[in-house]
Amino acid sequence: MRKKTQPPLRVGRLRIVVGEIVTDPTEIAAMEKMRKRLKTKRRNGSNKRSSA
Amino acid sequence: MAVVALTPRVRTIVVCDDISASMTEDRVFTLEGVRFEILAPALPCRTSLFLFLALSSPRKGVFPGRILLIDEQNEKALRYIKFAAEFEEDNQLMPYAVDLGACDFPSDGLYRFEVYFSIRGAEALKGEHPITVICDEE
Repeated sequence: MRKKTQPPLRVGRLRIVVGEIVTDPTEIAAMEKMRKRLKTKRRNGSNKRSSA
Repeated sequence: MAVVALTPRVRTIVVCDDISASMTEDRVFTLEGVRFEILAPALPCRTSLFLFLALSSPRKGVFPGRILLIDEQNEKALRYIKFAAEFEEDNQLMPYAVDLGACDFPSDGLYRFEVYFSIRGAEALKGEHPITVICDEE
């Protein structure tokens, strides 16, 4: 099968952005929950791969 | 389609002290003080850092992004930073200089930056980059 070719990427200008520091405890808690969920998902995924 | 496929791809992550665009050439940048380590005279230490990100996306749009600074000794996040990556057209490679401000490192050891992007409320980890803090206390 032929490999699907990707269109060339057009390079944009440098964007300088100041990161917004999150201090809201509710938002931080939501991010922590998301991190935990992703970590578990990743661990389960690698377990499945290694047991296959 | 999966969140990973719909969100921007992180092609490069560089931790450095400063980033500037060339005054004479378009799309040419200077990264100052590119580092994998921070030599701290005393601990805890506070350092101002920039993250250079080369991001690409097959689709135009604005993608909310987050950068987390993680202490690898206890896996705790020390800093949460929000930013938005904008792609004005399809199949674009966007260089971003994200000013992280003053980052506090409580002790020596391994840390890492994690870059996340989200779409429709779902998030994906798109890149990681390590940094080591070495104490130079006499």
